[in-house]
Amino acid sequence: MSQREVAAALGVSRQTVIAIENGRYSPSLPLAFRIAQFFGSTVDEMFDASEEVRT
Amino acid sequence: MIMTRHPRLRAPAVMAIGGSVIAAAVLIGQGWAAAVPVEVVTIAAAIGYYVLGGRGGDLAAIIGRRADERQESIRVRARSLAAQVAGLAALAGYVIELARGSAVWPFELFVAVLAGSFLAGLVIYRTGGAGPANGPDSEHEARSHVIS
Repeated sequence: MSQREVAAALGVSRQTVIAIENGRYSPSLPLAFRIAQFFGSTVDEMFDASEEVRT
Repeated sequence: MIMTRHPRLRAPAVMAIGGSVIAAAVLIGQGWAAAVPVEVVTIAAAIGYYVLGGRGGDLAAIIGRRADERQESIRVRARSLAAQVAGLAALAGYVIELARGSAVWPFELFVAVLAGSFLAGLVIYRTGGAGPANGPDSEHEARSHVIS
């Protein structure tokens, strides 16, 4: 699955998907839930809350 | 309304209207010769802005009014920086004009508007934003903070 497809499904830009993947952007709670739902996972599994994220 | 149907047109339209108002002021104060270049630059800038807004990338998304949440946060921070720099520039201008013994009221007005809008923002976003920490939604608030 390409970043473009993920971005389109989540309603964000490809640059934002890349920024989240690289830890350069911490998504909002609604977007985090959408990401988790999209990948059939949970927010806890998708994101590490202890990790410092640069926004 | 065209503004709602074509959000990409919003910024160029505001730019064109603002520039035309300035051009009209120049026309009244200095005549056609000075006003025409202002209007030409305004129209060129508005067209350039519209074209840029249709391209890819963060900047184009912000300009074209189709920013996602990350790009919107970039826009907000950039505007905040611009406001801070404008405030500092006004303060510098105020000090310089004060030392020169010139009229300082435009700088005073600018700083007063800046400070007033900042206070208004605090009031508006405090009351209309996150809501009370101990209100009925406090459990949700606490959970949100843990996750984020």
